[in-house]
Amino acid sequence: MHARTSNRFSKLGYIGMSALLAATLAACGNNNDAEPAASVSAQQSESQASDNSAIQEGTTKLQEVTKQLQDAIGSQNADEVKKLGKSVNDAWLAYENSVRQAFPLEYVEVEKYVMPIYSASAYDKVDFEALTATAAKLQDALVALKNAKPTTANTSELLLKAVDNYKAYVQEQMDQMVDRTKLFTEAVIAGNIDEAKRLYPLTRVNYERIEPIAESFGDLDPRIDAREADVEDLSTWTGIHRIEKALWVEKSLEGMDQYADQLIKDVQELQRKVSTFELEPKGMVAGAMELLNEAATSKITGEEEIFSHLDLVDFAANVEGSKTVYLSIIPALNEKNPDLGNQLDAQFQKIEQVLLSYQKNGEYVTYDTLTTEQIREISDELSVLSTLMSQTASIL
Amino acid sequence: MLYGGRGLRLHRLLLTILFATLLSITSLLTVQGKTYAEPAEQDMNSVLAATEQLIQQLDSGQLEQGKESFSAIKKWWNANKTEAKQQSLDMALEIDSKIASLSLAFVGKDVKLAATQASDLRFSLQMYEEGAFVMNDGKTNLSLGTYVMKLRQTGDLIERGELEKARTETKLLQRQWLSVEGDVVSQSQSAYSDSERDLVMLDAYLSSEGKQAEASIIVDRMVQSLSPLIDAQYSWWDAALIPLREGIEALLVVGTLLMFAKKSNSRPAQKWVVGGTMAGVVLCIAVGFAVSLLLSSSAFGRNNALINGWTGVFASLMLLYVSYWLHRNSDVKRWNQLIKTKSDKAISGGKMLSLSLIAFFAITREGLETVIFLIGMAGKMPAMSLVGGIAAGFGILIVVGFAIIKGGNRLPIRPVFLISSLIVFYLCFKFMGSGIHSLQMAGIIPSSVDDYLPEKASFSLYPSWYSTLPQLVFLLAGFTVIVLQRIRPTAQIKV
Repeated sequence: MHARTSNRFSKLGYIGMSALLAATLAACGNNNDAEPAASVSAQQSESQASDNSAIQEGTTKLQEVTKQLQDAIGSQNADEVKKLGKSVNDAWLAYENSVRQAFPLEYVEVEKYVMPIYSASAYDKVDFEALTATAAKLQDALVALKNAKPTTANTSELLLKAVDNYKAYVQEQMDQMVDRTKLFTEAVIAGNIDEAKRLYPLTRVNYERIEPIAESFGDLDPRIDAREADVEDLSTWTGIHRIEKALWVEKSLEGMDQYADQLIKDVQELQRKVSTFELEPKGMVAGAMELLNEAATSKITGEEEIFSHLDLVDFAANVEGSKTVYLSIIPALNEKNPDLGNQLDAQFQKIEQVLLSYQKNGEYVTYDTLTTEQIREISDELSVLSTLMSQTASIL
Repeated sequence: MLYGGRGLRLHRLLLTILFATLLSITSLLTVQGKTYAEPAEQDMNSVLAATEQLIQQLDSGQLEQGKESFSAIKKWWNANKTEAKQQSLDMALEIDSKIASLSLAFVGKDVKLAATQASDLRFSLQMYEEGAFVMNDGKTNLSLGTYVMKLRQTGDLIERGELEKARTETKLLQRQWLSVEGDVVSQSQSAYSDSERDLVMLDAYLSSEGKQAEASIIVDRMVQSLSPLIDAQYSWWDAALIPLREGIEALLVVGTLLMFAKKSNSRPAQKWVVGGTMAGVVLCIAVGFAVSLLLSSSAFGRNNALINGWTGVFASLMLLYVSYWLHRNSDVKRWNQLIKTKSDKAISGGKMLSLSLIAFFAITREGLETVIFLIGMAGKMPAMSLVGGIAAGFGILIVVGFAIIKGGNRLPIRPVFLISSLIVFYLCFKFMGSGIHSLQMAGIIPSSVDDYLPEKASFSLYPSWYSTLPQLVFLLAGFTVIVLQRIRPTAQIKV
């Protein structure tokens, strides 16, 4: 709307301009814009031919490793599954850069399934059922990658598509949040402390992944997610952190049913509001940054989960949410700043690697067990990632 | 007598135009006067105080004590973030990111880094408090105080050698200039024209290698000349001066054209001039409404420079011809002959159109400035004195306009034509200089500084060959015409 209006005025400014002047000056003005775009696309087409055969080769190899993994899952061979999980990741890392450049949409699909397979390799216990499904989906994504055609859409079309993909993700997270919150609140009302404690981090994850959107609806966010330190009048304090305190500090769920009732109602209301939420590319890209800011401001400081010390769960969820935005804007990044895409990819891998080292048996260690050096190690990686992410605004 | 009646009707028409302008501007400013939602003042003050305290604590190395002040800031942000995002996503993200960086500096226990981040955060918070941000709808509430602060920030960037960033900031300052120029021009014409010149020079210096020191000097002198103007109070007279200052040139152009049309005994020509004037006035009012209702001044910034630039250049070229024509026909004999042979067809259709265009360009150029200046002043003074001031300004303009036309009618042809031709030449000289300068502001013509060239804002002389060269050509052309005419008439009389 804005750009259109300005255009109209600049046209007005040209009224009465002599044709000669107009032609020369306009040509000068436009050249500046056109040049970098032209050279980028020239570079791309140059390297495309060699990339394509590399992608075919790499994908064939990855398909073979995934087939071996599926066989190992079928025979319930845990050690073999763990070993092959790492091999799948290695095979993917070997050529993923060229895939990201050439077929960004297919890239996201593969990336989505390689990650959990790799993570599972670090767990003591192997969830064969979940892995069977993931491996099958990975095979589908690889077939799609082999048949992929280069996209011809321009940046703004790519961004609108990115918003659509991201909205689907938000909706998926929201639906899962409702399901998990339902189980959690039921456990709370039933007074089952152990079950509630087990479910608590699960309900946190979905919320923290889409936090910038979840907190856009007036007082719904404070009702669901307010921390004790942020509340002026403690008698008005409601939501998940209130129950967190009961579970970990008071060690009693007495009187918590009213908060549980309110919590599930609020989360359902949030689900309704999110389903009609209008999102624009700018807001989405800003969201990726906000998530990393959240991680830096309240998670890595241990303030978010002050009673349960599950801050790393929230931290990882923030990073995951941010990565989802990054994945969805890769096509646009390839157009405008492919180098930034490479750097972000490398840094996400690095921070995931670091986070993985703080998991024990698929669960994050608690914040209070971390040493100052360990906290600093995580925060340093986050700092690098934030600096890179702040540059993504340039693609808009 | 019959003649006088006709003239009177046209005068009445002009008067109506001016009156309509006045009314529209008044209503426009009332619309503009509405205030935007600003961050809750009390909260804002306490968070700024907390930031101040935090910086002091960090400067003296007290990281642990600093944590407490930082908690207060985080708490405030937690409560106000959503509202800030609704006002301006960019501003909110800026604050959010700075709080995040500061938090990481605390985690890393890096007091020095934390101190730097805290000052960065203070700067953003001040911007937020002052409304110095582009809102989600593209509007801005920028004050001169913040403008000067941003200028200082740009100066810091230059000193630190971050020239690319400084250049980006300068481009932004050029666009935002429109939001504050009304505030400046109403207090000091010289500060206004110097700043306009300096904004282009700053860009030029930052674009060329090794001119860092010169760029720094420019920033310093801009800060120096603008700082005393912050927080000024206005009287009705300040408001009156704006239409006077801006209008007098346009009035001179329109007055000359009208007088000329009248002397040539052509009623249609008068109508064309009035028509062009009217079109210009309507355009200015429309743009004024658009700027105050749809866009922000800074969003309009480049377009304004474009319109000012092109109208200036074209009006200048056409006025050059008018000046020549007036000068050539200032000879009484020649004039009478022209009138006799062509009777009331002295002005052909094509010429009438150009008369109309000249009036249109001149009015658009000056009128747009007037409207935008007045928008800048609205809200900084009581509505009554503003409206009264504008009325007084236009009133004086009307009187002067009558005087020009009446006086011109009574005086003999030769001096009137000679003087008008001089005035028109001066205007055409000036319009060319300022027109090119505006196009440099808009980025259509490259900015350059050639220090050895003279500069004088009242003649629109800028130290750049892009604007000086055409002006030199004008001078040369004017000179040639005078010399040629000196030779020829003597030859003719002898024959």
